Amino acid sequence: MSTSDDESTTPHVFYKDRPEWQDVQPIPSDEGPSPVVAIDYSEQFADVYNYIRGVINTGELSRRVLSLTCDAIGLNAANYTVWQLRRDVLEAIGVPKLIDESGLDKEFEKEFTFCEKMIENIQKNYQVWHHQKALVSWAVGYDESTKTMQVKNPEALDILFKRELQLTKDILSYDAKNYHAWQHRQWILSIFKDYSGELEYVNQLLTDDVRNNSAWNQRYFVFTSMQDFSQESLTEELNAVWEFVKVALCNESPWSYLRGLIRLAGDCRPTLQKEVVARCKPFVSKKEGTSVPMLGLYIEFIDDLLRNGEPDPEEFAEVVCLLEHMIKTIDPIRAKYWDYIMTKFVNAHGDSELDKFTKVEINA
Amino acid sequence: MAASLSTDIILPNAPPDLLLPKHAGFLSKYGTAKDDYDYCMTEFLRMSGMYWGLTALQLMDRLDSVPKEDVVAFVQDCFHEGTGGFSPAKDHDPHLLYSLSAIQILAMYDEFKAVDCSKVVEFVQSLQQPDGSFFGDKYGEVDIRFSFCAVATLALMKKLDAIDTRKAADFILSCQNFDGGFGSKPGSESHAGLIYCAVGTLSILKEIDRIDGDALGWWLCERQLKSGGFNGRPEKLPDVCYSWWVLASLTILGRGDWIDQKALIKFILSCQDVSTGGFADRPGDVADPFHTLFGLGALSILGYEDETTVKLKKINPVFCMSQEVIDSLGIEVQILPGGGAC
Ligand SMILES: [Zn+2]
Repeated sequence: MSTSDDESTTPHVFYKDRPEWQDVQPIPSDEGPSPVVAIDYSEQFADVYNYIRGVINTGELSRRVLSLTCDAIGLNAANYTVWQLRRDVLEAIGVPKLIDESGLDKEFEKEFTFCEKMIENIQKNYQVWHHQKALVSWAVGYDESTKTMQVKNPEALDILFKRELQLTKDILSYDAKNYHAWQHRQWILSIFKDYSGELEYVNQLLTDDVRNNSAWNQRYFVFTSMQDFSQESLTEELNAVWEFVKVALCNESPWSYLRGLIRLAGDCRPTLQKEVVARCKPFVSKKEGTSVPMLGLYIEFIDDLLRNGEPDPEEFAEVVCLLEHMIKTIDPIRAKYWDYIMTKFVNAHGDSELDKFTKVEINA
Repeated sequence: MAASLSTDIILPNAPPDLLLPKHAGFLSKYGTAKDDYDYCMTEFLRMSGMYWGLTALQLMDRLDSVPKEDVVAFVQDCFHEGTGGFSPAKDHDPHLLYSLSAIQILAMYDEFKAVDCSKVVEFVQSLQQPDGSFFGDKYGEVDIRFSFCAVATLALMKKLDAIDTRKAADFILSCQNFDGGFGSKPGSESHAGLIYCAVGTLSILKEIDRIDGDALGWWLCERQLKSGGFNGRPEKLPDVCYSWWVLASLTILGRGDWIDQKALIKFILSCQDVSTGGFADRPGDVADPFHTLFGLGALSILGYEDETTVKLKKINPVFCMSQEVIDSLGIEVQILPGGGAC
């Protein structure tokens, strides 16, 4: 560990025994007489937090408080009051500075490193990510209300953009589903307004684990940020996604993704739905172990196509038969759901299908 | 690559019966060992811990096993006159999360008079943003959970008119994803706990009909695994707390019967700790009040009953409180017309 004053480690000397802290009045936790809530701290915990309360009471915002918050955070990183105190100190002593093409100011850089280390240690703590967000906002002069940055120099911005993408990438390499890391990454992409490399990253994650639902979510985030929902663009995406679909047919995420993707389509929606139905056909089976999410989407698309297009008695009969198997053998734990889909399907198409079937016969 | 088998568990053979007296003992003793490390480390969520434990006791009709005066005094101690918010424990900052827990506790005891509720209303009101979302506290993080806390807190006090409810609902809808679910803010991955917050908020605001119950209902149903338990996201392990988040959401959507209720009951009962009492997230793990409340809450929705135990009280799927309390306050929530019996 570094010896610098704002990165001190667990203290060997109690604050109450440190001469340089004699001027601060420690304030013990007053939990009152209630037996339901009495708290008995460990000695060191109590010592540090007594001094935290002490400096909050006097409003002191100084370098030694910065170092005190470091110890307090080390003992309990989930205490948001202490993090806020740390940010108040940073601002008061002028640490945050706008980034330029040579990078972050030296002292501010140390605060970034401190927070990044904390993030690595406690990856799912909300406070550390919140702190990182505050640091980035300071470094680029980001204004949440106008969604604008004070820093305009592309070189300077690029340094921070890459740094934050790398940080989240590192954390996601430990746990590819870390909710905080994904949120931070999305926030970074949206404030820097640069999604150009993200699809490549998502493809990499899906190649590593095609079942990574967080990566599928990110794929949608990236795709919609491009704002191109033309038939060409959607078809290209369908083709790309199909490569992942084939790898694990039973995996629900890509099927949800396809449902969402095709909902973005305008007039070309039936064309795309037909395409998906045709691609599913070879995999449709009535045996246990078949892909339930695939069949769910398959049935839903056929239902939509029948509602908006030509009746098809054969397709109708096929879906009814498939649904019977869903209820009885393929997915009995969700039998009530499939019952409901069956009723909806038959109500929508049953009678009219029969009518049209009769008409076809008469015409013939 | 993650194999799908690794994302479920195998249940022990026969689940134990529902051990209500053990659970009551577990909860009333919990937190009395105040010198233990865990107690110290969880100080930052003490208020919510109290709400979980007390609500679970109330469902078992054992609320009287904890001295009411002590609880109300604790809640009063955590009230910040200046801001109108509640902190998780004394000397912490007020936050919407703990303000909801505090108001839920006061509602259980019919003790709103213990604090200046007009201040609480102002606190909640002050945190709404122009887009309808809510900050959790003055430090400005936005999360759909805070929308639920804000709206539920005001609803319990009958003060929903203090905020822009239409915009609050609009923000919730902006968090809906392509799979029908909701994440904590726009673009964030769907998660069963956050879906509960979204659906609960819309239900209180009587705007639940703005969502497609079939699409979301299906995603929620897909959370049930072969073991009978629910996970919170695809490819995650089952956990008792998701029994509550998923089942309560499905119930609000009028689709609680879309899942295999018998299998779910078996999973929940298997998560009881037969020696200490209480429920753990999964069979064999350490029990805690959080999972105990959500295990009991789900069993209450399911109307679980066996010949050896007293029946659990009915729980309200939106507020996660005894229905009696919600009725006595005269609060009605909106439930979507059923998708089961069409
Ligand atoms: Zn859990």
